[in-house]
Amino acid sequence: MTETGSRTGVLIIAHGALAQEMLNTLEFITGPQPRARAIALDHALDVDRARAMVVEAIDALMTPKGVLVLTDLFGGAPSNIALSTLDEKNIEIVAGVNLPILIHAVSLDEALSLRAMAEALRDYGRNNIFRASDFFSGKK
Amino acid sequence: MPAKLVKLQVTLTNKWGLHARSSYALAALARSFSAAITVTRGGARADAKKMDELLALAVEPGAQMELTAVGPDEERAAAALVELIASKFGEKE
Repeated sequence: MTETGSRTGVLIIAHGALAQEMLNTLEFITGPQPRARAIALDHALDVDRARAMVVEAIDALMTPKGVLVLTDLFGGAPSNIALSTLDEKNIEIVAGVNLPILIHAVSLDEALSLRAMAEALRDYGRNNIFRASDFFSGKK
Repeated sequence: MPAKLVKLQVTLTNKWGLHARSSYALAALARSFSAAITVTRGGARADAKKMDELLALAVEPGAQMELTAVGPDEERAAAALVELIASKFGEKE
């Protein structure tokens, strides 16, 4: 089951192979996501080259509403490079991406504004972290 | 005219039960209908349009659950969901 159409673009940026593996896992669960891309950043990459890759991917995913950028760690290089494009690109960045956030990102109500989408993803990610035994003892 | 209510018992026959892929598929299909759809298992209830709520039911293979649909397209919704579940969510055995 896929829900693609003219969906808001989703760009995952993370250290090493994490972004691509997250995208692979997302597609394993949801089916193909042509409106999602992954970028791996590592220390072998020149900062200008890394920034150019991010800008190119944002442009490729751009819609009138903008692009959702999901990064792995606030303050890390992937987040910082995404932040450096904030003044020139219509994006919202959610840092600390996890699998619940990613799946929710491709299931969001397209009637929401980009900002509302980002806020919904932040809240969804937080709300889907459990101490598993609390869940089964009703303390969820 | 008051909305009709469709209530059905279904058994999960796929290999992994209501796991990530099957929960996503069920929620995505449920969202394509206007009807309010709930899945109940034991005393726990989930909005069928929300994957996280479906996952929280922890429905194992072979378990029975109850589908309830209320709304303008409740019969079509229930039939589509039953078909998806009967197809084992398209999973290979």
